[in-house]
Amino acid sequence: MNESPLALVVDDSDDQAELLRRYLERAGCRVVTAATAEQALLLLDDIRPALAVVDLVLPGISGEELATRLRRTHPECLLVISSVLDSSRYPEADAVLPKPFTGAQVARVAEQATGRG
Amino acid sequence: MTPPSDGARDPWARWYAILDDPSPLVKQAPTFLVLGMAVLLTLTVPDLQFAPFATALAGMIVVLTATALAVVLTIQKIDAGWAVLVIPMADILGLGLFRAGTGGPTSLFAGLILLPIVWIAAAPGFRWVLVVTGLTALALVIPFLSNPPTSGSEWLRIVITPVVFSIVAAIINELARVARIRAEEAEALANERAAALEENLRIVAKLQESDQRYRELLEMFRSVWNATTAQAVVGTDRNGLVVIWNPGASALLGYEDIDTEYAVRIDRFFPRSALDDLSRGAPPTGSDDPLPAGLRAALVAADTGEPVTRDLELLRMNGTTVPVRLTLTNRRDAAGEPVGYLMVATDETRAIEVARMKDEFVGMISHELRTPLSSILGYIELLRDDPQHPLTDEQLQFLAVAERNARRLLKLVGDLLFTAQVESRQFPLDTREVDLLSIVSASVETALPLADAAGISLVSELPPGPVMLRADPVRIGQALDNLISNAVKFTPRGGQVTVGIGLPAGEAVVTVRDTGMGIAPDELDRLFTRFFRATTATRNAVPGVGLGLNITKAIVTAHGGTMDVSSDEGVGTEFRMVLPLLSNP
Repeated sequence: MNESPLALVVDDSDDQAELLRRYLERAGCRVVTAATAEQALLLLDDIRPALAVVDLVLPGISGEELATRLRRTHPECLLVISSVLDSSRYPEADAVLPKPFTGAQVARVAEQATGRG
Repeated sequence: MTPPSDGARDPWARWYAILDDPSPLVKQAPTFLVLGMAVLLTLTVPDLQFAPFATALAGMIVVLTATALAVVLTIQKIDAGWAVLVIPMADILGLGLFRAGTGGPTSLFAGLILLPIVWIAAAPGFRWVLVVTGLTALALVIPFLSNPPTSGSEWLRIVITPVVFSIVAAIINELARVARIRAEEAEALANERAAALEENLRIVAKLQESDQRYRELLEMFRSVWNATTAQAVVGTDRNGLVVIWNPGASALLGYEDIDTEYAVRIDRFFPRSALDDLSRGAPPTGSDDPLPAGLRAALVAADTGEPVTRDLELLRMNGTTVPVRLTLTNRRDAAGEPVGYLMVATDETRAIEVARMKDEFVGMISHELRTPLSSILGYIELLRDDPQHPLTDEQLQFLAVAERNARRLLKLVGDLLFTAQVESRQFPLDTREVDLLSIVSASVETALPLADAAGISLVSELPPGPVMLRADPVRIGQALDNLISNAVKFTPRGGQVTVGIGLPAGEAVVTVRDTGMGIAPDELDRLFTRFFRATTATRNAVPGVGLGLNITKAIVTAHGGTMDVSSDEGVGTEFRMVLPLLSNP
């Protein structure tokens, strides 16, 4: 069955989350968004996304911490880090989307996720 | 020289003073008084009488006249010379006449003649002895002028008495001579001593003066020393044993009473990490050297006479560390021989805290600016690339303007953030082995559209083979982009920008040369300073904030390279980026 891949977007900026949602949908994904890591962890109890885009600077649990947990609980998920921080400060991940990213970059990442699935 | 004495202590002093340096009158007084007594005796004692009275009177008159002369000379303050000696000479003749007038050879008063004889004989020179001989002979012969001697004994008396008087005179003359020599010697000695004393006094005065100056200097030094509380100043001997410790050192390091008698070694104030930092690249020290290698290396560097400055941490008494800027200089003694070192440490805690807060602030601001800018750019793209709602050309053009400006802001924010990282020495460098040629080509490629639009020909002069070095390609590319975009910005339409690579031994030199407006010579050394803008830039309204070159230099420096620039105003500018090559490519 060729269902479109599920993407989780975690970003405390609504605008950024909405932007990512739009791009990912254009790239053929279904998108779930979360404004905080805590919210994302709750969601992750029920879903198994093919792709997770995580912002690093989050209130409460940091994006870095979330990425580590995601790696442990959902090893099959394509982990993508997206941040305004310098890319040298990103934790280990499958792909990166340094802000500001372009639609093409997001599409490439989505493709990578579908390729996996 | 008579020692000064006051009358209270020695009541005779005044009289001695008169006799020490007698005037002619004082010398004449005994003769005059004794003669007076003789006259009185002759008048009162019946056995004695004047015979003949005229001769005796003549003698008295002569002595009186001589006394009058003594008075005159005393008043005129003449107490030496032949004029004075005329007095005793007259006395001898006068007393001779008096003797003749009081009995001649049988006179009681022949002995009186001795008084003026002593006076004359004491005068310097043997000739006065002869004068005495002649005069006494003359004086004693007077009685015999009226009745010449009849017996042999009388003849003998005429001869013997003057001879005896002459011998007495000779003895006195000699004694006086010896006494005079002694006095002269004593005086010379006294003068010598006086001179020596004077010299001593002069030296003492000079010593007092220099002592005063020394005290003033010492006082000044002490107040400066005690006022230096913001800096720790520690002096050591050549092996790092503390000999000087100022209040600032107590304040900084916490030790109140440090032993400054070669008992404490300075390595105690350096934590392990600081010593390790210092010892990086330092030659190993001898096994008998009490100092750790790093510290010894720093001190040896100070031996050249140049101050050595290091940023490191010092260890406090309570075990905590304090960041300081440490300056080491060598210390010399009065003869200029090196005897140890001076350590001046300035507390950098606050400066570091301020720098950290500033960096934090800049970082936070940058983050807060980048996030909305990312959204602006993202939504512009979303709008532009929506396949369902294609835009008109004009709308696309407007969006392009918005996007260009958003990108410009984004770059500025990036530069600011990067500068802050450079300042706090924590900008990340992702180095690997790369081909410089490909980085330069890519930068030139990127700049071509910009150059074309500005009507400038962008030329590259590159060597054929790869140029391998260890670098962060992104950062080097960023540095090159800065140089090339600067060159394009500062070159008028129709000009040329040339990018080249030179390969002197062990180095790669990337040159970016333009035919632009150039930079004033006095501004060249400030060119790499943050926020500095050349007057040619402001005058020609070239956009920018003055961060590009600062960042470029920081990147090159972080790669172990150097930046260099030369410029002719109105002719052009050349920037050179020197990077070390891989030693074995």
